Amino acid sequence: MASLIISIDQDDSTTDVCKWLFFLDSKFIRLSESSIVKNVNWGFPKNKITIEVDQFTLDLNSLKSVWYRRGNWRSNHQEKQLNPTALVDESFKFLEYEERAFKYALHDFLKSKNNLSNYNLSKVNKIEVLNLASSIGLKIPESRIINSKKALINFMTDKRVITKPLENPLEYYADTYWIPTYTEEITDEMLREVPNKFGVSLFQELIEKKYELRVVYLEGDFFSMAIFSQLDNQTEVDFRRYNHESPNRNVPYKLPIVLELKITQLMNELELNFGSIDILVNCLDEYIFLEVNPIGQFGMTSFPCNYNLEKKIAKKIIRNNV
Amino acid sequence: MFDKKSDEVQLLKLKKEFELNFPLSFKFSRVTDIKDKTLRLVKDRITISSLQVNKTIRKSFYKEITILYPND
Repeated sequence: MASLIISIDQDDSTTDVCKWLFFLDSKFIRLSESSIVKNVNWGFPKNKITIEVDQFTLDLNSLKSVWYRRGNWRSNHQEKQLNPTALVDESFKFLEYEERAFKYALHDFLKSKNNLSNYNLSKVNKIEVLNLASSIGLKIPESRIINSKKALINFMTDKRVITKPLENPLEYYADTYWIPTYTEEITDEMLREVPNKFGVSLFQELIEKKYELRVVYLEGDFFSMAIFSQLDNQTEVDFRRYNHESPNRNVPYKLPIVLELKITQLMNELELNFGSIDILVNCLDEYIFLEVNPIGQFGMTSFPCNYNLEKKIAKKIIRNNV
Repeated sequence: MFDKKSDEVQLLKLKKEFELNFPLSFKFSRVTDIKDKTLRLVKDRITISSLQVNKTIRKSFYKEITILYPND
């Protein structure tokens, strides 16, 4: 039986893993947002499930190995333009909830397989994770969720402060431009523009860092990279403001064993066997945990550090299929 | 299909009219040019250049880099 891979079409890292699967002569089916579920047949209580996606009929019962990377498949929808009325809005909301329930149930069923990640575990709450990390003994930045300038000024009295989305950044990519929501330091100049009231926002103390770490966690193994982003004003607060003229220096890094044990505990409690973890190292050589992204990039760590994660993931997918 | 000017106007309008709704990270977001379309395609791999190896070696590793570094 082929392995099942669920990803988005433009994820190069998935393609790199697929290339390894080809090379290792292992069969797989890759589904994406352009894959359309045409037929579903799911019988209870025996849980006999077949779905017809694209040109494949998948017997989910005989499936052994699943890699959930990103995205999801689509349902077979009729597409028509309708005038937005209250009834149309509510009807589509109803449809969305129905679909969500179906996808949740299907991915929940897939949890019983040999999994590398799962859609239902792919969205973690930053605040919940920060609190959990803190309870495990990881250091986290002092944080506030507030919606008034007064509270913000109060939080800023003795420290530099950044803001970032509570969940995912805005993802609007056009052809030659995009609209990023970077992690931003609230400067005095920006503070003057801030209205007295605003939407509920996450603020954190800005950590004066020596360097930052991007850690890929793969079923108990750690693949870490130090990013020397603090030496460049452009990348100091958010390294994703890539400086292509003078790129940050990235080097392989070994985490202290105590930190690895704490992160393993965190990942176990979150039921995650894969994740991309952001950590800062401050001037006192303390490790400050920022967040974990269950569907985070790994190519950006794999290539500069020669970790060859694409091959490792391909081999795990094959092993899971035995 | 995409209209940069119109998106800039729309973004400003959203920020102004829904100031009380959106978090501050949205207020500070702005329409930003992508240097080259290739940039998006190789964004996972761009960090190869971060090795700060000899530029010629960099080029031979990833020919896309030549597009990103037209002055090399």
